[in-house]
Formats: sequence, structure tokens, C-alpha cells
Amino acid sequence: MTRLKELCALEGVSGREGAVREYILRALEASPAEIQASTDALGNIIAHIRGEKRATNKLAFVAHMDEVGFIITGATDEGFLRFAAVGGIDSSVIFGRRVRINGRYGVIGGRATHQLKGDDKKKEVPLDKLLIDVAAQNKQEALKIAKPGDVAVFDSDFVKLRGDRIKARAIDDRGGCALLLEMAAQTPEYDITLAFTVQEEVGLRGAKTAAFQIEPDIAVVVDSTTAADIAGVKADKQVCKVGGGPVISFMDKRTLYDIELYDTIFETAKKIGVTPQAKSMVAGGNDAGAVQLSRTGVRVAAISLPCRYLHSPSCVISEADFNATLKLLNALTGEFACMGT
Amino acid sequence: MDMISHIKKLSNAVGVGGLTQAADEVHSMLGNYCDEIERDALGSVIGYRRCGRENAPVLMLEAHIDEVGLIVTDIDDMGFIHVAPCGGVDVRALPAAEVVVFGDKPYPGVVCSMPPHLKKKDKKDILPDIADMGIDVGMSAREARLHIRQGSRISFKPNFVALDDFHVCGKSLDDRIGVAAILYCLDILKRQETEIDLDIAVVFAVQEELGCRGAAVSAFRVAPDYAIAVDVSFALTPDADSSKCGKLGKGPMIGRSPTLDSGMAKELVKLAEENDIPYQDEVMGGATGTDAESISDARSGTPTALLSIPLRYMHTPCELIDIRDAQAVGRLMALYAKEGGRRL
Repeated sequence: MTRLKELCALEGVSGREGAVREYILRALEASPAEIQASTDALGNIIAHIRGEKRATNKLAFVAHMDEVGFIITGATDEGFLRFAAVGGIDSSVIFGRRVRINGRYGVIGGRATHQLKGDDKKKEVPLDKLLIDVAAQNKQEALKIAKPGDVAVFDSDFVKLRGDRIKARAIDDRGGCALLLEMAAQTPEYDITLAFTVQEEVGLRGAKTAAFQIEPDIAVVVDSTTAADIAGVKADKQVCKVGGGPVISFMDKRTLYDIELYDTIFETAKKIGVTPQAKSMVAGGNDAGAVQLSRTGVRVAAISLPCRYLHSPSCVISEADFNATLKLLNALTGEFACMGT
Repeated sequence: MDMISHIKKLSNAVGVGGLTQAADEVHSMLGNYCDEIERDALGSVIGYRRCGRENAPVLMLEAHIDEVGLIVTDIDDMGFIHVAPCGGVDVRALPAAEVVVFGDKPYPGVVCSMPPHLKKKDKKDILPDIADMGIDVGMSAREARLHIRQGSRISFKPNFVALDDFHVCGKSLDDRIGVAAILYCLDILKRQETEIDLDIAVVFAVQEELGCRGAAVSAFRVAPDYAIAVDVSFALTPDADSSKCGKLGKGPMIGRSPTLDSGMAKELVKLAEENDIPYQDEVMGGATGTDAESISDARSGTPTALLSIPLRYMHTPCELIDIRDAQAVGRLMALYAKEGGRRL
């Protein structure tokens, strides 16, 4: 899990993926496999890996480098920073949290609970009413610490919980990046292309230009998805379970997935002794939405890590799910490379 | 004395009602300054700095050592830990908060946060009751029930950081910063080798967050002639009412209230003005909601003053203070011990 830990320590809010990109390029360079990696105008990494055998299908695996975060929009006269969310951050997880900004710390909060009455005590503070406190005395001082356009992320470390659980920030989708890097760590059976994309959280934008360049026949998006198997949620609303294995999507808000690929994933999993789970709710979306509609169309599948508290400072996944997903991805390389021929 | 490293140790120690880590920490810190240190039946730490004079008056300096947290009420069949508040935690800071569950050993955990698509449509912005939130410790029900029991305490995860040279942030600065201010005062008296004409009793009290209980029995035990309680109070944020808040970095808030001794307050104001120590007035119409009340009505009554350190984001994991305010409180108390003691 060293790679995931290192990836989660990097800051890479959408549009500011530089640190993640550099890390991944270095890791690809260090691989013994024959890899041609390049970066496009938006900052996507496209890496062609020569396998032991030639694939008849151009097969791509896609994971996004960016993460949700905050962007500074200005400062108040009192010296607090105004901000907007980059990507979908629920207002319930922001209050009382610390953020990192330009190498410093800030706090997001508001007046004390003691000064609220009745239901206001448990009422979420809407995002547009929150400010970042950087302990500046006035507007000028605050703007010295961060300028409009600078970004911030939650301050949250990588921690092993009990058993095989991991808690960290940005597992969505450094988890996918780590999986792809594991695939690239040795020569794969067949030729594959890896795309590490930018700007997923603000509209699947990197995947659009990446897919245009790669022109894949088949693309597998490797992401992290909401697991709602938490206290107070009935079984039929849980979407998927942490510890329940790789999550396979048949449909979400952006994509209706290729049914043959979907079935093949389950069959392959069975062959290699991996237990996958279907994403049991039509919700969310990922890079597949952009890749599927690239040029004349692409057959797509999505395999995700089940992740609790997605887009919060405290994402929780299972190491066993991670390992099972890696095993499945490697096996699918063989299945998809020559499918239909 | 390196103020920030002291505060870091104090903030990161855990003192949710009944846990003794924080008390143990101050017990050892007090060793530098006090000849006698004892614990009372509830767990409060009491230290004495004697002046050597027979029947010298006793000035009690008090801050509370406990902190807001949670207490385990149940473990459900999925292994989630259900809790009740142990002190008035800010519910708004709970979803996705990191915590430590003190079972047979400390276990890191995360408070469940509801994914946006599962929030109840009619009351989307109202958070669930604390009892319904659940804490994820990554354990099955069987495992959780083996290691964690009803009554196990839970704290926010220790997370102390400095924002710059003066502003620090962490859990439980309410009221560890008060503890730090008292230690700072003792440090001044030690460094200056000041001879003072009174005995100082330092009380680091438990159970303030549960109703100012610890200070009451400690004050009974110490039976001081007069007392200063040090706590935190609201520092202004842009969304708050400025008439109900002090300002961060503008000095100690000297309490004025029917429950507090007005003579002591006047004396503190005078000392602050004479010595160029910044201060702010904190006027309350009745009970201050601090240990000052339970000290002042212990036994046959004790004149009591209240010094508050302005603090933002009270009862969240990220309380924020300016250490200069705490240092000023320490200086003011040291002056009071020297000057005020003689006037008594």
C-alpha cells in the first residue's frame, strides 16, 4: 500500500494535478516494462505499454488523478478566505475541518454551537456561508497567504484502521491511479494503454481528450465509488459494500455500460476466484461517460473500489478489495485484448 | 518554557470524562512548580505552591482538564459503534470526523457521514441525531463487541498544529489552553523567583463539560480564600454576533457577572492597565457557565474571578486560539498573585 499512501499524500485538486502527474511519470519511468508515456495539453498522462503479445483490440485503462477540493475566491475584510467547492463536496463534511493551503493550515468553522438554538444546532452550514480561517488579521494579510484561484484540500492523513481498512483523503481516485501503476509495474500479457486523467471531478473533461487521442476499442475505467453500507442505511440503499470486492457498474448517471464486457467481468472474476459486486444503484458517474462517447464511440466498463465517505476527508476502503481489483484487472487484460476475434 | 510544545502535549492528551491521560500529563508538568500534588476522589489534579508563611491566604487558580467527547451506548450488528455525547460536542463537526475509540486499547475510527443521495429529501440540511450517526472502526460486530464496550469513551483524534508563530489549532484547547496559562503563570513566578505572600493552589478539574462538577469538590477540599477560574470564551467569527464575543488576539477577557467578585475583577483590570496587558471586558447577566460558579459557592463561599481566553470553533476538533492571549492571562495572574496578594 506504499504507493497508495504516497499518492494520497499528494495534493491534486482538479486542474492542479501537477504533483500527482510527476509522481506517476516517475513511477512509470522506474518500471522495467517498455512504456511510452506522454502528457497532453490538459495534463493527462497517456502511457502505452508493450505487452508480451500483441492485442487485437486497443485496450485502455483509465483512472483520474484529480480530487475534489476548494478554490479560493477572495477574502473578507476580517481576513477570512472565501472559497467555492471544486467537485461535489457535501456541506455536511466541511464544518469543523482543517484544510491545507499553500503549505499552511486553515480551519473551516463558524460561531460556536453554544450560540445556536434548537434545530440550528444540527443544521448543516451551507457551503456558501463558510469561510477558511487562516488566522490573518485583515484582507491584505489573508490574500498574502492565498490568492483567488489557489486551491485547498482537507488535512487528513493515511491511516490503517482495524483489519484491512484504510482511511485517507483523495482515495477517489488515487486508488485507481495506484491500481494502474501496479499493472504497469511489470510487463503485461498484452499491449495496453493507461490513461491518468485530469478534471474528472469537474465534468469528466480530461477523459474526453485522452480518449480522443487513444482511440481505444475497449476502455475500462478504474475509479472509486460510494459505499453506503453504513449505520442507518437499509440494505437496498447501500449501493455496494466495503470488503465486498470490486464494484462493477451496469449503469450510472452518465453511462449505460457494454453488457458483454459487464458479463465477461463477472465470468472472469469467477475463473480467478475473485468475488465482485454489482453497483446496485443507478447513481454517480465517472470517466466512462466521456470515453464511451469519444469519436465514433467506445465500448466501456467500470470497475471501482467500494469507498465509504467518498469526497470527505475520511475515505475508507478495504485493502482486500484493492488486491482483488488488481487481480481482476490483470486477468481482464487477457480477456479483453482479443475479445471478439 | 516552550509554550507551543506544552500546548501540543496538552491538546493531544485525552481527557474525555473519566479518561486520565490529560490529568497524568498535567500531573507531570506540575512537578516543575509544585511541592505537593494530589488527586481527589473524582480525578482532579491539585498542586500547592507554598510561600512558607504560617496561615498564609490561599489563592486558587483553576482550569478544567476534561474535554467534550462521546460515550459508547451500543454496537450494532454491522459493527458500527453508537454513542451519546459526553459533553456538548458540536454536532455539525461530526460527520466524517476522525475519532479515537478507547476500547481495550485505542482504536481509530470515522464518524459515518450520509452520502448526499441518501439524505432525507424533506430535511436535507438537518443532520441525524448523534445516537443515529454510528462510528466506523473497521470491525465486524463480533470483533467490535470483543474490544469495545458500552461506556467506552471516544475523543476527537489528536490533531494539534500551529498555523503560524502565534495561532494554534487542535482538539480540547477548551480548556487545555487555560491549563497552559496557569502553567505559564507558575513559570513566571519560578523564573522571577518572586516572593509572594500567599499559597497558590492549582486545580486542574475534571467534569466541567458535564456541569462544572469537579471544581466544586476540589474547591471544597482546597478551601481557598479567593480564586481565579481560567476558561475559554467565544472569539468572534464573521457569522457571529460581535456583542456576544471577544476578539482573538486582543487579550484576556475579564469576566463581570453577578456571580463573580467585582472587587477582584476591578483589581485585574487595574493590573492589566498598569502593566500594559491588553484585556477585554466580558459581561454576563448571570451564571457564566464555567467552573467559577461552582468554586464561588463551595463551602461558605469564595470570592472568584473569571479570566477567559478567546477561542474560535468551540467544541469542534479544530479549536483555534492565539497563544499571546493565554500568555497575557498567565502574566496577569502572576501579577495578581504578587500585588493582589499583598492587598488582601
